[in-house]
Amino acid sequence: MGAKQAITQAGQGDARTVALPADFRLAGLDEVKTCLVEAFDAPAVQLDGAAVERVDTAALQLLVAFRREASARGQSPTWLGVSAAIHDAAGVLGLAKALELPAPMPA
Amino acid sequence: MSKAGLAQFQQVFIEESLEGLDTMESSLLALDNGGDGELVHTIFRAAHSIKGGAATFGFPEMSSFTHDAESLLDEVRGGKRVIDSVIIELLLRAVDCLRGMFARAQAGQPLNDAVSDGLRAELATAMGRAPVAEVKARRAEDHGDVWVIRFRPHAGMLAGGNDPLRLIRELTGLGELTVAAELDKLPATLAALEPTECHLGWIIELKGLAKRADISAVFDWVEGECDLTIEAKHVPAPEAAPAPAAAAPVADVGAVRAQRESSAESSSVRVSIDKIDGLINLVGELVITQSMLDTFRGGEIDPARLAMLEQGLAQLGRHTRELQESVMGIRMLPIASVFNRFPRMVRDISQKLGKQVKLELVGEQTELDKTVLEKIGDPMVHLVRNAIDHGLETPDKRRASGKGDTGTLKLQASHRGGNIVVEVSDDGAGLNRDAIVNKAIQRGIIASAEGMTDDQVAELIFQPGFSTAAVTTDLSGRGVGMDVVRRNVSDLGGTVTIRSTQGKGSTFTIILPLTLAIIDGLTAAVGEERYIVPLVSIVESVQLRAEAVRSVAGGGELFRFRNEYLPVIRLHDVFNCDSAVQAIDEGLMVVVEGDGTRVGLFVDGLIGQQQAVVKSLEANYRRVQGVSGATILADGSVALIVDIAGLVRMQGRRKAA
Repeated sequence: MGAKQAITQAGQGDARTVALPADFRLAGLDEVKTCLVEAFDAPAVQLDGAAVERVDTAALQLLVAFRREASARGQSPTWLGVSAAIHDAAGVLGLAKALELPAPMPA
Repeated sequence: MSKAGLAQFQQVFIEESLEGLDTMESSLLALDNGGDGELVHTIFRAAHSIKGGAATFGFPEMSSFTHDAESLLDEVRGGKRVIDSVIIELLLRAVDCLRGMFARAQAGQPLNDAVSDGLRAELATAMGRAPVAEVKARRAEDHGDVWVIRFRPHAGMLAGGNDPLRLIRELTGLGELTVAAELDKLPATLAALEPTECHLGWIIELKGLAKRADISAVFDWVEGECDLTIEAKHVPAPEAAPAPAAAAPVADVGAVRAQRESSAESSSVRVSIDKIDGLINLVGELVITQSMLDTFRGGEIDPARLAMLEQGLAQLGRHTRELQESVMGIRMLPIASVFNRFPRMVRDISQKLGKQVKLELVGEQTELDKTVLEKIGDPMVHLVRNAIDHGLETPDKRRASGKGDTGTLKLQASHRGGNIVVEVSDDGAGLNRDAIVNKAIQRGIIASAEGMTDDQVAELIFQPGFSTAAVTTDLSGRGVGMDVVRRNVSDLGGTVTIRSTQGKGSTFTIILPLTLAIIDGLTAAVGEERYIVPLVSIVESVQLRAEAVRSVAGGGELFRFRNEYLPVIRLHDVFNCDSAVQAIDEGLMVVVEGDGTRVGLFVDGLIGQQQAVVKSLEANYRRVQGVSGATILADGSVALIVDIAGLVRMQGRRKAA
């Protein structure tokens, strides 16, 4: 189950890391959403998308909504890692900017 | 979706589409022979699935090509156009062309070529839509256009399994995209977002040669699940796009066919659920039997329960046998997949040669091993070509010999014992004995035909390099002749024979084992070794007196068998076995037939008949001449399976040396 679940953990002081699952798609989004909603309580949030292999529109929509609410609360979540799958999908859907993705690492 | 995932589905799509193309082809041929209107629907459905699939799996060229063919079919279906032989011919060529495209897709080559461009133009002309030149002009004009696509999925679209990611990715195949997401409908708080509902929208600008139909085709499957507008925004056109390459003459049927055949051997097999269920059932039974036998483990067996043990073992034996049959059954496919390629081929060849041929297919549902099935195609193609080219006569000649104008070519498959029998028969002129004899003498194959029976003469056409056609056509007579057919069939452990009556026709009979995995054989003892001789090649076994075998100059030995002299192959010589029987009258002579030649195989004795599970020697060790494989005997020792055809060839070389 480990890979499917989004894992929140305390680390680096009070910053919280939300690790996105390898299969980051429609069926598993409720768990990720719960983690993200809880993460608003932490002073700083890091998203770790390095392990994401599969991603769909619904998943990116969730991240966009999270970003929007975070900035409305004056927070600015940072990316700890972004997999090629996320970069690719966000590029196709025109969401790279809304997600504030870092520039892709050269292959 | 990840690239790897898509590739996996692409393979399935290609396999399904090739089946669809087969359906289209056979239905078109049936229409050509006056089939009913329902066939048009069948063809249309097949084309439509290919179009939809091609667009989904990233083959826009294929999708738009099929779209053109589909439009033509749509008019026929709608009664706006009467289907005639011209349209059928055109659509058949489109089917060929699509096969070529699939072959190129599998090879990762560009899909369009001169043939497909030319055909598209022809399809357009047939539609009366726009002649080639106009199509080009319109394409050039299209070039300056930018399509603006507003795409707003309804909330439920994601849950329905349609992902905008896939749709937009598909658009990338049509041209250069600029995608802007609209976030205005997104709920203000994350908590309020239902992750399975779609609240995003997109404005997509597409630059390129795409047509409106191509774009809307991408969204075909989400019709009613989204709001979609497609508008053209005109941008001043740059220099006219380079004109597409002039339509080249349509490639020879043979070339397309060659591509098709090369990709014919696929590595997967589709199995019906029934067969799988049967297997699961049997495995279940096996588990029950095993647990029953488990109760006998340890300790001494109560004599009172001995009967139960015996019963259990008998059950185990039965289930194992049934399981074996079922597993073999999984590899069994109907021969229809081979037969189905012939209606088209017969039509093309007979048209080319100006002959009238009626093709009869019998026993298409006969099942045989997939491996055998894949390899039987080429020899059959050869036989069918030969039958039409050499066997069947032109209508004039047929009338002259008192037959109907139309010749009959019959392909028949049936099970006979543990073998499958495939017959290719025609009611044509039959073999011309004199022509064959002359040719054989000219080629130095025989010195004279005196005393040769018709069957023996007919046998001559299987000799290497034999071809009697006065004029070599592109259909047959290329030097690769019947010897190759025989070689191919005997590689499968089968035999080819011919029966021919002058003036009445010929019948070629191919006998093949049902499977390559198990053979029926006789176990022969040679010294300490055991060899398996395939049962199909055994004619008879005889015990000879010592004086029956004569030595001839050059070291060979011959013996007389039913009015002919057969060479002797001593198995212990070939395989260097120690302590084998040397004296002729102490051993046994097994008369076997391979490659159309009979020889006597001298062994110590025959032990019994058994089914041998063939293990490849090549895969586990290396190829050994005269041996086709190995098997494991009941006592655990290894026995080699004798390759009769190989032995005969070895013997021939020894004789020549």
